[in-house]
Amino acid sequence: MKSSNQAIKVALYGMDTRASKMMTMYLSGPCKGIASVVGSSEAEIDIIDADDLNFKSLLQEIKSNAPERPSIVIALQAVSVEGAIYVKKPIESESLIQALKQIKANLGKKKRVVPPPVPVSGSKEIDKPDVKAEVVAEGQATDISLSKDLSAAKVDDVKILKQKTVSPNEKKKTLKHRTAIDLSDEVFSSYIGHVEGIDFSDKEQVLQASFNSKHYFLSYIQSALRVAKEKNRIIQLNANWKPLVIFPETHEIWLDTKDVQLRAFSGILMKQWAGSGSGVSLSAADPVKVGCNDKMESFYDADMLLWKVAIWTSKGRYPSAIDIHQPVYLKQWPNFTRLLITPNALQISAVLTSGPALMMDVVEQLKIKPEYMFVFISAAHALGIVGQEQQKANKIVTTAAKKPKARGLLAKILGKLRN
Amino acid sequence: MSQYKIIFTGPVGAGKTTAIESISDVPPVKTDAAASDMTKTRKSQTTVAMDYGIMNLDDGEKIHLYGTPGQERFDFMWDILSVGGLGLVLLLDNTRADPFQDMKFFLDSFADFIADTSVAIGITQMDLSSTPTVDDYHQQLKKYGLKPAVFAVDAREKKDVSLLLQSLLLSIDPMLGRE
Repeated sequence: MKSSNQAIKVALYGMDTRASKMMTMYLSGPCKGIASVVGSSEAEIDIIDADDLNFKSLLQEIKSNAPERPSIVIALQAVSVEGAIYVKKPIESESLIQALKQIKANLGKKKRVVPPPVPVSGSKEIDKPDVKAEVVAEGQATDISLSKDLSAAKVDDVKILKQKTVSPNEKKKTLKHRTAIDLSDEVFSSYIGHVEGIDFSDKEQVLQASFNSKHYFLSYIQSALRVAKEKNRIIQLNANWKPLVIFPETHEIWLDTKDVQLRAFSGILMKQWAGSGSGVSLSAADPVKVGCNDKMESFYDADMLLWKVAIWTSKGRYPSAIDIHQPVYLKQWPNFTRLLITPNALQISAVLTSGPALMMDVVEQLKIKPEYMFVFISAAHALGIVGQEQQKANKIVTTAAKKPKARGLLAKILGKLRN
Repeated sequence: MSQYKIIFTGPVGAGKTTAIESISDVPPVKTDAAASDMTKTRKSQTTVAMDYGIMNLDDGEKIHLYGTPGQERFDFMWDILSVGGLGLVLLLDNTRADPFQDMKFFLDSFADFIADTSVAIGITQMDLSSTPTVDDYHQQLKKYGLKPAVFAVDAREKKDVSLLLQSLLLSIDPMLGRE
């Protein structure tokens, strides 16, 4: 007899490479290693995707090869297959675990499993965390009050909501995994908006074109993210607007809003909005209650949201925390494939990852508009990847100093890729 | 005429073949075969020789895109492939057991080539496994004294592959196209 904690050997059918990989990881992650995927010849149980176009012939083949072997059929719509347990898609780990345990128990008794073809899904709401009462303490840089009467959900308690290894929910976070958007010069200015009273063609005014991020929503998000990480708690930022929930472990932010609303809110001075900032607070979050699970598409990678909010806060200005008369450098490339790409952003990144430079020198060398430089620096600064203080000590390893071979050719390739 | 190449490398299943397919102007020559060793647990077909695609430039010049076979037993081919290479695209599969170990292996294997050119790193399958994060990779890269672009990449998305290549070219020469 098998020991109770030994993984059940399962074979997968009707799934393409990605689906198989996902199921394999799902079994080892959310299903806690209850089963491991093996080849057909070694399997104790078959898991078959009934939504495969060739399901009927596949089933026939499987049953002719191993007629006694129990099986689990997964499908979007209920299907009745003799001798098989049906598990509804999208699969909930509890349902699959229950089905596997049921078969495992029968295997242990050396009996053939002939369960009724009834759904076993929906037996438990896995997404509801067991929220424990704990008080979030202490303040933080930005003027945010922390709720003391609400309980904080420990990250550990809600791990089931967001598995670290792999989660079928990950694919539902369409916004988080959406590929980059390139904005052309023509639309960019109207996209970011503008600040009255700054003439970017006037060199003196350009040098003064800064903003203090502490006065804007951006800084409140940054502070909340910092607190969430320090406390390792899922936290909700309340700003008399839409709830913003921070998941520190996965570096995600949930915010259900449209870009046009977020853009407007990003540009508002918070003191004007919330009355001296006292209306902004942090509290423990209940992701289920807020509705995070119902709108997975509203999950952002935290960097993605900060980047975007910083662009709309900047409106072409640079952060006052940066001294325009000192060189800046980038600690690392931004993850451009998942960010909004501002004009000339890749080129600026290449220059600033190769070594420190004055922002206005970069503007001149690259022949770009200063507001493009500033908006990029604002976004990168919001992510914490801009360095300035230790530029002399910072020896940046780069290939830029090398004499590039076939320079003209490289330029032609770049031109083609940009089109 | 010189043969200019961009080399795509990485472990089995990282998306090299797909990435070349995304960016090539001609249907790529694929040399996939049924996997017969440890790779069969990850994909049913794998590259046993190399993939080959072409980018056609306006003046008739061609850039050759080569994908190395992912299996280590073919590493003797990597040096041959990289001769005349303009740069290296390293694709890493985030669902593999130890992607940092993969990264180390390929950075070590191509160390001389990277020193002569540059590297850009694409992390695939992040929609299946979100950890390690892109920042985690940057932290690891500090050990090697490298600061390459590291992007989350869906190898099926031309835009993702294009951005990765653009970063590779600009890291070779940040002033490219500005003279």
